[in-house]
Amino acid sequence: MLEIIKIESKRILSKEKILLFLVIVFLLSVCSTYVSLQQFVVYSADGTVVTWQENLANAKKNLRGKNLDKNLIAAVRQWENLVYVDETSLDEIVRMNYEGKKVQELTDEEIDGFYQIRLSRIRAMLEENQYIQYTQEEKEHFLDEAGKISEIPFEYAEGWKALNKDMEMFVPVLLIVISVLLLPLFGTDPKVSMNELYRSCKFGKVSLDTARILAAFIVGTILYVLGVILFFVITIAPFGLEGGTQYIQSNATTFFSLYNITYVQQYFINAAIGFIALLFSVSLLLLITAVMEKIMVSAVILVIFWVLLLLFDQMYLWQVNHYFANFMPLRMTSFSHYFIGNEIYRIFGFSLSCMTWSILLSSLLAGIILLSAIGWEKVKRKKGLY
Amino acid sequence: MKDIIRLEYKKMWNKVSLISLVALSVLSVLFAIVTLNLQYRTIDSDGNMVKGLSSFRALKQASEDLEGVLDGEYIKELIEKYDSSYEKEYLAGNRGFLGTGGMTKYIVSNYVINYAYYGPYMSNGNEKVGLDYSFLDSEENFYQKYKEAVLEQLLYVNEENGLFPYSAEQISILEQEIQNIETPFRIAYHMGWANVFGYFGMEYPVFFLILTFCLSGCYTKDSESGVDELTLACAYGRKKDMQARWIAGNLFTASAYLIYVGVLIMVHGGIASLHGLGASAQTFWFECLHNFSVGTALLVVFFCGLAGALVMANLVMLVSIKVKNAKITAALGGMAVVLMFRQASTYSQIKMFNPLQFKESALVTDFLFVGKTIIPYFAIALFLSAAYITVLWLGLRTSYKKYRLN
Repeated sequence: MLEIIKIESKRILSKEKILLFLVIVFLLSVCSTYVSLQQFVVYSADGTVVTWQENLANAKKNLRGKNLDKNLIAAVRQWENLVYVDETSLDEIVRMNYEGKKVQELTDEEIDGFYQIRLSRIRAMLEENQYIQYTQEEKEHFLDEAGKISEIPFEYAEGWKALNKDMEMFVPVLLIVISVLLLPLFGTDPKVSMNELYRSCKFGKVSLDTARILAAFIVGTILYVLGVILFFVITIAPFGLEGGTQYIQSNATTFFSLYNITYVQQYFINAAIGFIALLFSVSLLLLITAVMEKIMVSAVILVIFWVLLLLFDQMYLWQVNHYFANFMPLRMTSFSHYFIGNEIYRIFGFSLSCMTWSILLSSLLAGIILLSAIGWEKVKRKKGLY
Repeated sequence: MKDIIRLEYKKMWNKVSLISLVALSVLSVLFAIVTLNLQYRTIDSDGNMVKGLSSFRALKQASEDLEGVLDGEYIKELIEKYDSSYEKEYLAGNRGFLGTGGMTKYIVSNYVINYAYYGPYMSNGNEKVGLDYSFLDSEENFYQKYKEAVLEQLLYVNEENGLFPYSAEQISILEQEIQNIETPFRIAYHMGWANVFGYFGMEYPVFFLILTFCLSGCYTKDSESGVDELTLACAYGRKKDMQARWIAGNLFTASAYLIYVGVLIMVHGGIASLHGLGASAQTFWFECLHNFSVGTALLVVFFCGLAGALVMANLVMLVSIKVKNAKITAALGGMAVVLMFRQASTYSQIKMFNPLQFKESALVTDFLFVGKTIIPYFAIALFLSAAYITVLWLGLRTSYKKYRLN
């Protein structure tokens, strides 16, 4: 069996294909890192330019040992121009907390009540949610979690912020690339008539099918881990590793998050959810190729499936997301909604977070789809189709 | 030759293209039903809120009394009706209604009137549906104000994002062109066609992708319908058969395009009706300079859409004959669509040259000055398509004699 898995893996993953995969991952990572770095280049009105290196170096120096507290906010309030990323990101958080107010407009009382105001904003968000009516128990649980943070370290962590943001673009593309590479496992080429030959061999039926399924998951996992590691290295390299142990609440995007986790934890959660999405994608691919047989036909179905997800994603309809897209690979890898959406599912009287239920249901769906693919192959064998 | 074309055309309707078109049709129907059902709601003629797909039929029925010619008498009656309507009262108390999928029978007429006031700053929403304007005291004043708004918008767009700034003489020609817009406008419910147009634009890149898969095997050696030893060994195997494949590929594209547009018209016609083809194009595209009805303007859009699709088809066929591998052709074609899509999403005016752009409102609203002559964008799109297809065809022809299987 191990030998067949090796041969099947080699068949779909030649040296050229591995090289192509690495080139795609490299280019994607470099492009997204370049775009991220460009956001740190500041062009001022008098024509001077602050390079991303200067900007990041300044943030590293200024934020050393700082917390998101009244001293820091009061200090920034004195500055006239907000140029560097440490200043602008603090201003962004302040605007979110004080409903659009600039840091310079804050009074001493407002600064003193920073964390109370954060709590009241979270309470308001829960109460004003137009789609979910939270129970008192759920609200109390959420507010308890939010209240556990009484001081947010605010040191330099720009690399982790960029990494977790850019993963939302990278992981879906990685899943599509892996799916395309796995297409020839069960998919056949119309001009290569080898089916009859290898299906008539001793291990050409059940063993071959089992080996191919295992090869799909093994190769998919290896490529996914390889891709995620390469992306991590390329993205984090220009920024540096500092700030990984900070709370994600020091980022404006996740400032109101109820998940009291660090950037490193967020990264691993994202990678793990991406892996579940990969399992779903591979299972779906196996079913499509088992049913359709031909590579090109399977590719069409795969493309249409991803296009449908993309179209729904652009329309952003809550019901579609809640009952369908949240368990599909594209929305699953749109990671930020887990941390800021406060979306819940009530299953058999239990209140589950969107992250937990998406992982559970998507894994279950992946299992059902995989069983369907195995069943389909079994039916073909029983009918004597090979 | 005719027989070869017929046979090549038949070969193109293989499993890949049939499944592709079925999948595209299923996607069109599913996407339309789900999104329209979840988003839209309207106030019917009895003042009740109707939600989902049935809201379109309710809106059509409610809109019947507002169908007509937007002249002085119509404006007067419209103001009276609107001021005493339940809709006005409802909109005052529900500020986000029109911006979040809400519809009332007044949106067609009132939005045109509000465009005369807001010009380039017009959008949809409760605050842009009122009729409390002094220029509505007479038909002449309204249309004068409307034409000023069109000029203001066109000059604003040119100033902000034009390829070349207009000269004083060109502005005066533009003013004359605006004065030539035929008034009064014809008002009619046309939500079904609005949906056809909207979803046609959204799914047009998907149709390009489908074309990539369907035609990727046209000249390749690894496809059942591609080129093989037999084809090349025949008396007509090279020049004639290769040419027949090109003609068949274009015919296939036109047929597939008809299916794509036909499915869209059927599904949206079924949901929201195909009423309103006779309405003035200006009630749909406010700054349109052409004296078209909605039907004529949509015909222009669909025709240009076909031209853009033919460009894509020829591009895929060219790649197919050069690389001779269906899978690589499909991958390169897919990448080309992604690049075109990214380019079409920018503000750069270079996107006017992008075939994926040949489905936009710009076809009936944009134009280019060549000296003192205004060239509409739909004419430019058709000219560009012809030029692209010619270049791609010439590229294909060079490979007819050089084609080798190994």
